[in-house]
Amino acid sequence: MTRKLRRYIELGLPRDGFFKLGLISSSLQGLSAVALLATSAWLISRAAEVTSIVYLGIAIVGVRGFAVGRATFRYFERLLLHESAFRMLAARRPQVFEKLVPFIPSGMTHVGRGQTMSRIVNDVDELQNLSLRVIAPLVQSIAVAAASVIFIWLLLPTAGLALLLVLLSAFLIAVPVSAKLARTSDLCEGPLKAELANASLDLFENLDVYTAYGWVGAKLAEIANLERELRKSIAKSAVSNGLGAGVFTLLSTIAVLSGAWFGGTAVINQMLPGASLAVFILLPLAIFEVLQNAQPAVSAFRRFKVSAERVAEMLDREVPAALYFEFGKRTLSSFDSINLRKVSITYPSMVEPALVDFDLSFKQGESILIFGESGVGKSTLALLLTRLIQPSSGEFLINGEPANDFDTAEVRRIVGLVEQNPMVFLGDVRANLRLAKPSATDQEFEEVLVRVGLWPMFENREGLNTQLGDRGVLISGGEAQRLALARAILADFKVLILDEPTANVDSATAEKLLEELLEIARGPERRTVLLISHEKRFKAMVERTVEVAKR
Amino acid sequence: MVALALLGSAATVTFSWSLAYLISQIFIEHATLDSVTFCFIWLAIGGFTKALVIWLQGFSATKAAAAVKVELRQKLFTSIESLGPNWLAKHSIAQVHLLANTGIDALEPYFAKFLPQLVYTAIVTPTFLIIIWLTDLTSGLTLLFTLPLIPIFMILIGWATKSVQQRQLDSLTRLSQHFLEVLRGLTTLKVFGRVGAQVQTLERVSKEHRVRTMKVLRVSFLSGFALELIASLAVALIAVSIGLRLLSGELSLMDGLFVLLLAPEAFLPLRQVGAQFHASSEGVEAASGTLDIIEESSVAAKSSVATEIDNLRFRPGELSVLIGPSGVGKSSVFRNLLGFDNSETGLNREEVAWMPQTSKLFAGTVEFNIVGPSAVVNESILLSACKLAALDDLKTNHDVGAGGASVSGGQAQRICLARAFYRAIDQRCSLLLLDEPISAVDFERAEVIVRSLQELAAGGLSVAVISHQKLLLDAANRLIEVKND
Repeated sequence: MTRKLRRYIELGLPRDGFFKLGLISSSLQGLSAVALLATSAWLISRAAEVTSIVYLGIAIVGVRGFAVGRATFRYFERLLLHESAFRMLAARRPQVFEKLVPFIPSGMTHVGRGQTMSRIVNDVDELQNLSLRVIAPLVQSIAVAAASVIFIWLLLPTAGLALLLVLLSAFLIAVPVSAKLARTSDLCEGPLKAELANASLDLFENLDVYTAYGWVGAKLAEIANLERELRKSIAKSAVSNGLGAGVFTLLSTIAVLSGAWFGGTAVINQMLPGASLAVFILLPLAIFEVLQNAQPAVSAFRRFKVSAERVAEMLDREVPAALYFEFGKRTLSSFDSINLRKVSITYPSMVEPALVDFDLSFKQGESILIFGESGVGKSTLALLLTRLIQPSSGEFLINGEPANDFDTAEVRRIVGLVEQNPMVFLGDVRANLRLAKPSATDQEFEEVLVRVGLWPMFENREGLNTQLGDRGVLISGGEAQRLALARAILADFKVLILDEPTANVDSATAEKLLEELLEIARGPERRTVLLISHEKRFKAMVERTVEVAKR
Repeated sequence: MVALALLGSAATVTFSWSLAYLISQIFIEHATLDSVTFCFIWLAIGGFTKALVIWLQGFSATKAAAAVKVELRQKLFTSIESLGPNWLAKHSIAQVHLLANTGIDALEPYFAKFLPQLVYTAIVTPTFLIIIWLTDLTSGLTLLFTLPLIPIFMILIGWATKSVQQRQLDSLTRLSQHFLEVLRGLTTLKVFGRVGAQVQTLERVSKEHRVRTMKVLRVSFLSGFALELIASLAVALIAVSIGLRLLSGELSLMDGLFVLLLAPEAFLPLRQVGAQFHASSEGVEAASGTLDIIEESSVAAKSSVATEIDNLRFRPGELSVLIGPSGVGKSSVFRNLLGFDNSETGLNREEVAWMPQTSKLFAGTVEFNIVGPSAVVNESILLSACKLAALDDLKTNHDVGAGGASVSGGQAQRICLARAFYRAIDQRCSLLLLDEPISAVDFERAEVIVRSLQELAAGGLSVAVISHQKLLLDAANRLIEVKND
């Protein structure tokens, strides 16, 4: 087993007691199914030669017991295996999420949003299929096959050998052949499905533009094209899927034939009691019925591997230097000054730097406009100051000491950001504010909403319980800014960065709004405020202006 | 499919009959192997035919299911198209996206497994029942009484689990929405130091999901248990009764074995129908949302809500600016003009070039974002559109990245502007509607754009802009105030 494969299995395999019990139940279920048919055959054959029910007692009890056992073990198998799979998933999801944390937002430039969603939800969910659809049916099949071969071997070694050969060929020929057939189509289907998902997300997100520009038809045609490709690819894998099941039936016929041949010869030569002939012949049928469960394991494993590969890649990804923050552990109790000297920033997986040799110094209590054309790296500066990206060169000093000496969480307690497009979470107003200060009371929330001028709007609705819709549709650009500002005030940052706060606001009201926002942001405590904007006209509202120059 | 089912049952009967005959010949009649050679041949024929039937069944069912899925997805897309962008804006995109992909894929078991199995069972089970009946009346009666238990139980348990199944799907949707939400808001969460709390929330949501789903599974697996138990016990019952009657000599071994082999084959398809039904019911639940949308689009009357646009007069050659306080519905005026509410009050869209308030970019080059999926690119119009939109800092072959990741907010806005200009010139539109075209653009470039707007208006176009920027207000020929009635 290669190291990679071991890693994938380690990712998906539960190791708890539920899983082990599930495997045992699974094996017992398979053995009961085989034993039911074998005992029934034995019962009927014996009944044909004996004259008293006394000889059949054990067989009758066995038949009934195996019948109940088969259904019962199956029920517990499924429950136990699902329980363990869900537990494994519950552990995996936060693990993947935590791994992803350093990469957002600065490391995500190359991944589509739809893809991220399907990656996390689908790939992680897929991990459960290793135990449910691969390991459990395989363990069951091997247990049943081994027990049956040993049983027949003890009765008649030649028949046991023949059965072993047929079963081995089922494992060694049918499985790899259908795997190979499935591989080609799986490889086609995965990317096609992802492409289809991206195309449909694109259609939904931009439906207004597509409609207004008369491009819906073209987009639908593109999607239809992908569908056709996918359908062709599915038709191909259907050939191999059905083929696998067919080959199994074929092999079971061969097993029955060989059982009949060897068993028949032995009975005719009186090496075996006649009543055992039916067992010899019917046993392979029952075995193959159980083995049939393992047949989809091959394609299930392939699907699992594709997802596990991506999950493993995500989990094993090294955090690039630009996103690494685990240096100092020092606390930061007060803010005095921040100095940037010749700071350059390059995003991971990008070649061109986003900001070059930038200098900036400011002290507690200042208000500054960071001005520059769009695309010069103003927002990157905001990410730098809030420790969401590391400089590739230059010095970043807080209170005269390297920023890396301080605990990142400490710096973020001091330096806060109101994003250009503030996130409005699904939920009520209270939940949207609470994330800034979990300990705050409703009264504090109401006070801060009054301060940012949002209270009248919510007061008329359901107060703090007012629901903010999907993507915050109930809220306009200006209102989102005010909400974000309310959060920032609750969090009590010492330095507050406002990144283009009026980008999504009507421009005439922008000036008034900005003046108000700045006033609230500065507050009675004269908080340090950095205003990032491409509009020079806001110059008058701040104490001084720093220009980010074009390269 | 019916022919395959008939062929399959004939093969099974041949196979079982030759086996029973073979065993009883050797065991009871002490025949030699040579004298039963023909049994081996029939056995092989029966088995091989069955293998062939199984292969063909799997093959054709998967193909048919793929076809149905394609059709359903197409229907969903066209339905959403006809319901219009305003309808979509009122719904969760994540949820609709989930429906269109995972939701429809979840239907696969229904079409590929359940329906073919239903047809197969409808043919095979009665056939076997009759054959068993003819061979041994007692076993036939046992089957006749136990077989119907399976569908009865299936229906009863189905009723009991329906609401539970709906809940499971709901929690699945919530789980995926929660993920998306947390990812999209991760920057905010980091800024406020709430990431640690999210890990716990994620753990809690996953745990809740597990507990809820296990509750559902405990019930839905119970149905599998009941069905399996009935089938197993019926076989056991038949085996014991055959044994007892063999003992008294009422039945021959040949007939007894034949019935024993055939009885599970009569149950198997029924049990599989049950299993497939439960495996596919989740998909059917998932698809109900899809079907709702398709239905909604077919019944949605073309509403004719009167909008205030009657009072609007955009004159050719004029640059009009729509003003009014935030939230008064200026963007909606444009959206209604474009007929986004699916009413018939909209203008002819071919006459209109529109730029939305939020910049919308597609994955691809700048050129693709401007020209769209049109077959021919008019290079000279593309160049002048870029020039008019002051898009001087990006090459047309620059890749904007997923969601416009590799361009700034101002660049994104100017790309969208160039898209509207290109359309206005290329399609000879009469009306240009721009929603906040320069809110993220720097001052020098904004001046260029405003001059472009005047130039376009002078060329005979009606230009209507939503903006409050002084630059635009000063340049306007007319100001139109949008009021809340």
